[in-house]
Amino acid sequence: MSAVRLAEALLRLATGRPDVAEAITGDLIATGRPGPWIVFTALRVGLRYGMERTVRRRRSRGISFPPSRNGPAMSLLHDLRYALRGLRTAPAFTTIAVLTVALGVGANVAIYSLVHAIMLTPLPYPAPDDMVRVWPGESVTMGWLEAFQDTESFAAVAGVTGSRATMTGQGEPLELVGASVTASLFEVTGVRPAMGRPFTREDMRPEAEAVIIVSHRLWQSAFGGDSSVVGRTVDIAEGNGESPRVIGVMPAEHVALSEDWEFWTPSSVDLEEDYPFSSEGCFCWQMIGRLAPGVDLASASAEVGVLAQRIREQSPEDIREEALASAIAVPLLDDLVGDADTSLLMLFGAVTLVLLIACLNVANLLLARGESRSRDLAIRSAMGAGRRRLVAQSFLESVALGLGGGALGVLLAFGLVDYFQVAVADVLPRTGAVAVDVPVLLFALGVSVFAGVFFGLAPAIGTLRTDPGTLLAGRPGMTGRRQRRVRSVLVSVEVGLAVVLAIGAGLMVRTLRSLNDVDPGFRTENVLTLRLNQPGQAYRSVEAVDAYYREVRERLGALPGVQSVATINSLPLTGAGWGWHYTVDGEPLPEGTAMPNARFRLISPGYFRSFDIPVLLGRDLTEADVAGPTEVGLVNLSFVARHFDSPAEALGQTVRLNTGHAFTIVGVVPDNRHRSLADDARAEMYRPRLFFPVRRRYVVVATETDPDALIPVVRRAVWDVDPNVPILDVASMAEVRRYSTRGSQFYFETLGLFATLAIVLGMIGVYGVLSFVVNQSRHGIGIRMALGADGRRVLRETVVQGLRPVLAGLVLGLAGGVLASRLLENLLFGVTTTDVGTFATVGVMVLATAMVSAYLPARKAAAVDPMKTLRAE
Amino acid sequence: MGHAKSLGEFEHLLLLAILRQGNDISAMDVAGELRRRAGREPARGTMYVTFDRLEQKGYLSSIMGDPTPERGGKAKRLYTVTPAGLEALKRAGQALQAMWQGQESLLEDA
Repeated sequence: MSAVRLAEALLRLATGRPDVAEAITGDLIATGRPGPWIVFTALRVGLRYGMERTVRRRRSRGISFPPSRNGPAMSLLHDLRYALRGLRTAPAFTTIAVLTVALGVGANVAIYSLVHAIMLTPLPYPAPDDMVRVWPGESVTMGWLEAFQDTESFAAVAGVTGSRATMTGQGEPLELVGASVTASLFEVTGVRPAMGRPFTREDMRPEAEAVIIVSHRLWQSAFGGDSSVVGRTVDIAEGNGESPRVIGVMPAEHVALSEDWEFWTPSSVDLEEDYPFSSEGCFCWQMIGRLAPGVDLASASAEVGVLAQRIREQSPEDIREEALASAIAVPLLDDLVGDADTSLLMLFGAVTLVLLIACLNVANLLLARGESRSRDLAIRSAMGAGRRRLVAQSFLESVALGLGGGALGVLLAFGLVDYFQVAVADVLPRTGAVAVDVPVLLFALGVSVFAGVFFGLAPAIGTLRTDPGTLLAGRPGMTGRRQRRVRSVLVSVEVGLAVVLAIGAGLMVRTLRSLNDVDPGFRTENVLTLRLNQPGQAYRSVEAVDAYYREVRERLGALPGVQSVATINSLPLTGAGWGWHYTVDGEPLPEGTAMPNARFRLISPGYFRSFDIPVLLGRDLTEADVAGPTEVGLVNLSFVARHFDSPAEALGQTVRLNTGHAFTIVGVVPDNRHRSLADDARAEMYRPRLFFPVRRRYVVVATETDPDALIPVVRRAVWDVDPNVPILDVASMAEVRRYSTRGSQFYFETLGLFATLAIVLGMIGVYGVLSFVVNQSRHGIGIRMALGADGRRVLRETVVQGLRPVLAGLVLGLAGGVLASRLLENLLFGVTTTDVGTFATVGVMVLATAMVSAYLPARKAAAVDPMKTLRAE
Repeated sequence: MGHAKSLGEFEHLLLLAILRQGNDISAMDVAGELRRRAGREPARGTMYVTFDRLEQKGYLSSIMGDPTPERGGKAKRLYTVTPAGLEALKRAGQALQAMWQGQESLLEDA
């Protein structure tokens, strides 16, 4: 889709007429050809329009066309034509050079499209640089929001938290992703609904009527773009479950904070209360602010710290001493990008190496070609072409190669970007806008020209140093020995860079393998998982929700092939979950310290059985525990280690949540990697019931055989209980596990691709230089063989000679790898950045491929017929 | 340029291709006719630019058609030869005919 938009934009630019551009684009689409072809053809048509305009303009001014043959422009045109002709006469060289540049530029442009969309594109709000994320150190409560609203630094602050709602009455029930926000969000973002009104403070009162603002997308898809929907009550249930009235529709282009959100609802807060700072019953908002006019980030951030300090002085229990340091404001864009920028810059570094290798390779090819061109140069020079003109020509040729390769590279980038859009959607933030657009194309142009100049340097210098006299006398411009030396150095550098990339890819392979080898502490085979989210209207009470899930468990448990069924609020390996502050009775909290926090899991009986997690001590949960009134729970070994000397000691102890609700520990389970395969276990508590309804839960179904086969019957059974509950994220636990390593998988695939490219290019270099050497020393070899040297020995010696620059490159690359692999540090798992095994494997692999590349020219050397060489003398 | 509004060869072919197909013809249909009858496969850019030029000379008029799904929801541009265009064609045809007189044998298969 983006290709079509790009094509139409190009055409609009070239024709100056939107209707013409549309018609031509339509013609191109109707051919059924792929996106890159459409863009390429649009570019050609656009150029033709440009030419036509130039002709017309010149004609209207009475200027003849073509322009005079004597101006500097004309001589440039002439030289360009000469360069192109030269390239045409060496089709093999030109093809290889253009393809090499295309690979380098294509990979580079594709990664740049990521960098551009994620890091460089400003947020889509007015004065986006004034938007900040505020971290007060502790959970954001209404108290914090009010306190910051009153400061000098911020024009406005808002609280935002992600939310989900269930939409019914439109065929299959749907789950919508949206946000619960404070009324000030629209002031902070500067984006107002396109229709209707934004929220007011009154909308936030608990007793206020339920209202909702919907996205332009939802308005189109669910309400057919009908503007009368504003004011109407709709079947979207979030939180307390009242059907809300639509009061606004957001504009299509601008969204408030996330492109994924389909709705916004006002956070319900008791505004009359004396807003507490403590996180008790908190909303857990994220705080977004807009800097007041004239205030810079540094002073705003300082004020956040001062305010946090003041609040600590007033009520030390609400903010921990150590949290004060993290009370800061950061640019919102930086906050959204997070640490993705390190990974992106790592990838960008990797593709830059690929491009560099490609350039070195082309430089190498150009040098080899210089040999055959030196006589031609000499003739031109003797006929009066100045040195400057010759150098200019030499550059022109390489820039033409760069541009040709770049154009092809852009087509390649289109393909790669299509792959990225799928592959990185959940790995990197802000990927919705990743596309090959005008800024990316400009970058491609810059890179192509740069590449052309870069690999044109060596031959241009060669030209500069050339003396026409010696050339005409038949001696080459750069002596064979010197050229061999320069080219060997180029090969060494190429190999070195390829080794660095291969090490990166190797470390990612090890990471993936380590992740796959991790025992998470629970079963991942033959477990089906799905997520349910009840509409709130029908399930208001804890009892109603629990009764629903009990019936779902019973129905699914009765299905043939099902071993056991359970529910949990957050599925393992999805990174999600709640933390909860608590104390242990009889273990007083030292003065001025904040409560400890542990992961909190709301589970049903059968959870440990379904995941094959043994209860080490005490007992498992029973159905009776869900109903109460006795409050019980289990904890894991990390929790035990935090508070007790032994698991036995933990049994019977009382844990008190910061909300006042307490439970008795009746069992202890082992640690497991609930959050992610790479994460160490944390303290966890498992409870069968909570004091508020939790409608959104995962159902885990342990099966005897392939869980996928059960999906249809499971679906039917769930909808038999209630057809209005959406069934979401149906996946086997094995898939969930695989999906959890998608980030490593992506980095491995990308680095692996780049490393392979780099090695192939490097080996082409090895082959090229050795072929050149063999050709040069044909004579010497012939004489040696005539004197009785053995062909096998010549073969061996030639291979060794070819490996010399490779060995130098290998040493260089291994050393570079030690430095560069640090960039990967936070992507690695189960392997260090200087893993000897990986370095050794890469070394052996590069040497082995180099040997193959050296063998081919060496065999030619060994096959030299001494008689022929001598006769040629 | 002698005659200010004389027709180029390609312009001549293009106008005839439209006339042969009836009026309100899209660029794609014109391209098809040129391929079938004249064995010409003009570059897209050349074709579009020529359409525009003929329109500016007043020899063609165009309207936007309805968008269709196979064109990605984009409208077609439909061309019609104007009376001035017909006049120009006639002039050019007559001139060619006059020049061909007596040379018809060249057209026979060699």
